[in-house]
Amino acid sequence: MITTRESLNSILNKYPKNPEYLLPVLQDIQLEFHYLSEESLKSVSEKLGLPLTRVYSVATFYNAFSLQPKGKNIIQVCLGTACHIKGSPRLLDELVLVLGIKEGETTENGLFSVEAVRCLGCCSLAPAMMINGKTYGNVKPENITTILEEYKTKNHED
Amino acid sequence: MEEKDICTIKIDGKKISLAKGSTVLEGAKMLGIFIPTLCYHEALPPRGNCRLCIVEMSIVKRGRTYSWIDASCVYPVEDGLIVQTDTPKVRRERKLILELLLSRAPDSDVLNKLAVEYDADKNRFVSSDNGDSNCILCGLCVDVCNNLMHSSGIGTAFRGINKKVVSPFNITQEVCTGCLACISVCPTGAIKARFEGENLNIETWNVKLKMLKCHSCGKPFYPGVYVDMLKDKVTMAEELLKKCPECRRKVFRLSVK
Amino acid sequence: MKTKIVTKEDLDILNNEGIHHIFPDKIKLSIQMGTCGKASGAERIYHIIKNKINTDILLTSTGCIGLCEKEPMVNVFVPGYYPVVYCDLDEEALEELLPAWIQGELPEKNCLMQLNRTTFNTNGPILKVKENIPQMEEVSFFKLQKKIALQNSGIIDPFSVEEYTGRGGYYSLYHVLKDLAPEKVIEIITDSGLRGRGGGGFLTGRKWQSCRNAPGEPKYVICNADEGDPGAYMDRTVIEGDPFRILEGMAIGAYGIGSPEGYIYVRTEYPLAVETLHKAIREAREYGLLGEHIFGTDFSFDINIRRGGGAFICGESTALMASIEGKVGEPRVKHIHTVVSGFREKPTTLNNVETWANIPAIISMGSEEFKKIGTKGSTGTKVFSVVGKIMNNGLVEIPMGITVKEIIFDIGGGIPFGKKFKAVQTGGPSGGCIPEKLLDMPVDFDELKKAGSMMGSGGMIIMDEDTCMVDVARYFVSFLVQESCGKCTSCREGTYQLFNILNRITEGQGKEEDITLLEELSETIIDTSLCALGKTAPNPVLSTLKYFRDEYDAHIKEKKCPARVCKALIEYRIIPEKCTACGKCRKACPYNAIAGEKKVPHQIIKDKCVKCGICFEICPFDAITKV
Repeated sequence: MITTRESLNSILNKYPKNPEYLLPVLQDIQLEFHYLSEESLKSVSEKLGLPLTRVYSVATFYNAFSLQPKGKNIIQVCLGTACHIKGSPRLLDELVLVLGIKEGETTENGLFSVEAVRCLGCCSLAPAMMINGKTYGNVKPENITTILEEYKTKNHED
Repeated sequence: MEEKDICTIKIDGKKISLAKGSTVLEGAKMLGIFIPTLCYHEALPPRGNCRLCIVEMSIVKRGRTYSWIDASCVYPVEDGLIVQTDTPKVRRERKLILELLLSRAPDSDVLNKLAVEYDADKNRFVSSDNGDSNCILCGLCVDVCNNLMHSSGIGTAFRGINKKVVSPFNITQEVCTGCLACISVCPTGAIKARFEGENLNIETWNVKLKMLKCHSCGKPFYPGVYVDMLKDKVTMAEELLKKCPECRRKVFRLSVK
Repeated sequence: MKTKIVTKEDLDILNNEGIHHIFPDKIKLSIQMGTCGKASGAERIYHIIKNKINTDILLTSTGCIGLCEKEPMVNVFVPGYYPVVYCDLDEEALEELLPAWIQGELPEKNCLMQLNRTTFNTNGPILKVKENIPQMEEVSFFKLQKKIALQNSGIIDPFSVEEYTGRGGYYSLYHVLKDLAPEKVIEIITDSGLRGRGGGGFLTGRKWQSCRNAPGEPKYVICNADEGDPGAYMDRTVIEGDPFRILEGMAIGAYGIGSPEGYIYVRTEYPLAVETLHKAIREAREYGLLGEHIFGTDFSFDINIRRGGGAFICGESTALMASIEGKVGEPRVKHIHTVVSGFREKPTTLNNVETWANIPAIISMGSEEFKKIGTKGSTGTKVFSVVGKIMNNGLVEIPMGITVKEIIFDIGGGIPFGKKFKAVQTGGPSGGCIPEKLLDMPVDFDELKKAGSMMGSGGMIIMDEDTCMVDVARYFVSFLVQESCGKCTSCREGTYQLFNILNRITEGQGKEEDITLLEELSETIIDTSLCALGKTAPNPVLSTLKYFRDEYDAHIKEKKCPARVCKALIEYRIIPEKCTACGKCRKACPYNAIAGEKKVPHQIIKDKCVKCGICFEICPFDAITKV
C-alpha cells in the first residue's frame, strides 16, 4: 500500500527544483488526489523553492485546481456558447436536482462533483458534458440519470 | 547620455526631455503636473493596476495621428509623444473608475476625497464590497512584502472579482517580521494593525508578534522577529539593536562626544 | 529505435511507406476518433468492428473530417477505389455494412461521400470513383471549402509520421533547411500575406522578422493551443487530426527566427489533444525530425508541452508566457512587445495552432499560389466552427472572402426546424453579433472588424429566433467576469458591473437609464483596460445594443423577452383545448407544479413553477406554450 506521502513524494521527485514546473507539479497532484491539500502545497513550496504565497496564488487562480476534495467522478457540464444556446443550463439544473448538490460541490458520499466548464470544444454536439475525461454529446436532461447510473454501479475506466 | 537615449515629449503643452525608459508619470512629476495615482509607489516598480492615472496621448507617425488613452505610470516615453492629463474625456473616465473603486471600497477616505473632486456618484453601481476592508487590490502590499522585504507573508488568491489578498494557511504568522511595510504602502488604509500591550497585532493578516523590550528603558519597541531580521541586514552590535531607537541615539550621542 | 531521417532518400522511403499505409493492398477501415467522434460513440464502433474482423482487414483511426454532426464516421478503403466515408453509424447500420465492407463492397447505405482526386491531388495512385456515391465536392457542406490546415484531418492516421509524410509532410522542412536561408523563409511567409489566425490578424512574417532582429538569446517559439473561445474548436481538431503539421510548422518558424526551443501551451480540457501531441513529439524525435541536427543540418530544435490551467486569459500572449513560467496568468503591459521580450524575457514568437498549421503548406505551394486564395487583405483560408442553431454543425475551412451567408446557408445548410435566422456571433467573448442585414459581408479580418465583430479564432455561433440577444450579451459578460484575471480595475470591476446591469435587465428589473450606463461603462472599459481581454469585453454588449436594441427595449420597457428565454419574463401555460390530460407533464415536473386528473386538462401552479421547461419539451401534443 502506497501512502499519501509516498505518492506525493514520487510526484515531487519527478521534477527539478525550478519554479517553471509549478503548474505541471500541481496538475499531477490534482490528478492523483483530486485536490490540493495544505500539506501538498507546502511540500511543493519547499521542493520548488517558492514561497507558499506564490504557490497558493497559482493554486487558486487556475480553474484546473481545487483546494477542496473532489468526488471520485467529476462531471463537467459545458457552458460554451453553443451549449448555452442549446440548453446546457438545463443540464446543470437537472444535475443539481438529481444529485442534490450545487455547481462546484461534491455529493456527501464522495461519488460525484459537478463543475461548470467553459467549452469542451464539442460545440457540434451541443449540449455536451464530460465525466472523468469521457465526453458525452447531445445530452438531454432526461438522459442524465441513465448516464450517472453507469458511474454509480461500477468504477468506470475509459 | 547620448542623444538617442533621450526622448522629448509634451505634457499639457510643456516640453520635457527624459531618458528612454522613463514613464509619462515620471515626466509629469518633474514638470510639477499632478496626476492622481493609487497603485503607484516610488519604492516599487509601476504596475498599472488601478487605472486612475490614465491620460490622453497622441503621436504622429508616418503622417497619421494616433490617439489613445493609457495609464501614465507604465507608459514609456517616446519621441514626439503628446500627453494631456486633464481633458474632459480623461476626467469622465477617471470619474467612472472612481465609481468602480468605490463600489468595492465605499469607506475609503482617499477615494471619497477624489470622488468629490471628480463628482463621482457612489451609488451608480452595485456594491462589490465584502464589508471587511477598503482594499482596492492595487497589489502594493503583496509586492513590497514579497519582492522588497522578501518576507513572502501575503499573496493574492483567486481571480477576477473574487481576487483577494490573503495569508495562505495563516503563513503570515510564521514569516511576518512586523515591518509594517504593507501598511505604509497601502493607499486606502485597508490594513489594520495596533499595539496591544506587549504585542503587535496585525489584524488583517491575523498576526500577533511579541514586542522586544528595550534593554535600556524597558519600553516595548520593535517585534522581536523584526530585530532578528535586522541582525542579518545591518552591521550593528547586537546590544545596540536591542535598544529602542531613542536609547540607541543616546548611545550614539555619547560616542560622538 | 527508428532510423533517423537524414537524406532526401530517407524521406522518400518514408513517403512511400506512408502512401502504402494510406492506400494499402488490403481493405482498410479508419474510424474517425477525434473528441467529437468519441463523444458520438466512435469507440464503441471501433470495438464492434475489431471483434468482427480478422487480420485481413486493417483497422486504424483518423481525426475528424469536419462534419461532426454526422459522427460516428468510418472511412472505408477498398483497394482500387478512393476511400468512401460512411456516417451516422450505429450497431444496427454496421450489421448490414460491415459484412459488405469485408467483401470489398461499397454500399450506398449511410454513405456520405467519396474522397477523390481533389483530396489526394498530389500523392498516391490514381484510383477509381464509385458510381452512385456522391463525390466530396458534390456535398454541399464541402463544396465551397478549401482545405489547407485541415487537409489531412479525417484522412490520415494522426499518429503516423509515415502517413503525414505520405501526404507531402516534412518536405517543406527539408526544403527550408537544405535550400533556404532563414531570412528567405521569413520573406516567403511575409510575402504570402499570412495573418495570425488566433484573432489579432497581425502579419505573421513581420512578427517573425521582429523576433529575428531582436537582440537576446535564446529565442523561443510558442504555439498557442489554449483555445479558450467558447464555441470554437478548430485548434483541437487540427491537433487531434494532424499533429505533425504543427510540429513541422513550428520547426520551419524556429529555423527562420533562429530559435532552438519551442513550447506548445495546450488546454487541459482537451485530454485527447494533449495525448496526441505527446505521442507525435515522441515519434518525431525518434525519426530525428525534432532534436539535434535535423536532416543532418546544423539546425537543432525541440518542443515541450505545457498544459493550461483552465484560464481563458492565458490565451493572451503575455499571460500565456507567465503561465509557462509557473506564474498566475496575469497579462503585463505590452509596451515592449513579446517578440523583443517575451518568455523568460527573451525574444519570443507566439502563433496559434492554425497559423503554424499553414506554414508547411505555404512553403510547399509558394507564396504566390497562397496569395491567390482569399482576398487582398486576408489571404489564404480560415477554419470556422459553425455551430449552434444550424443544420450541419461542424468545422469548415473556407477561402477568405466568401460571405458569411454562404457559410451559414450553403455550407451550414441553414437553420433547422424551419426557424428564422437571427444572428451569428463571431470572435468569441471579444467579438460581436452580426445581424441578418450584414450577412453578405465577406469573411475578412478588416470587414468583420468594421461590422463591430472580429475574426477571432474562428468560432461562428448561429442563433435563431429562439435566442435572446440580451441573454447572449449577459452570457458573454458573465463568462468574462469569471475569466478576468482581476489585475486592473476597469476589467475586474467594470465587467462585473456590466454583468449586474445586464442581469437585472433579463430579470425584468432594468431601468431606461441602464442603456446609457452600459454605453458609458463600455467606453471606459475599452479605453482603460490593461489588456485585450478587457479592451474587447464590451463588444458583445455594444454589438447587440447596436443591432438588437429593440430586444433591450422590450425587456426594459415592456418587461417582455421576445425570444422567450429569460425565465423571469416568461410563463408556461397549458392550452386546455389541446391538453389530452395524458399526465406526462405532471409526472415529469420535478417541482410538482402541475395539477390535474385523468380526463381533466392540466394546469400549471404558478407559485411552484420554476420555469425549467421540462413540461414544454415533453408534451406530445404541443399543449404547453411559453408566453
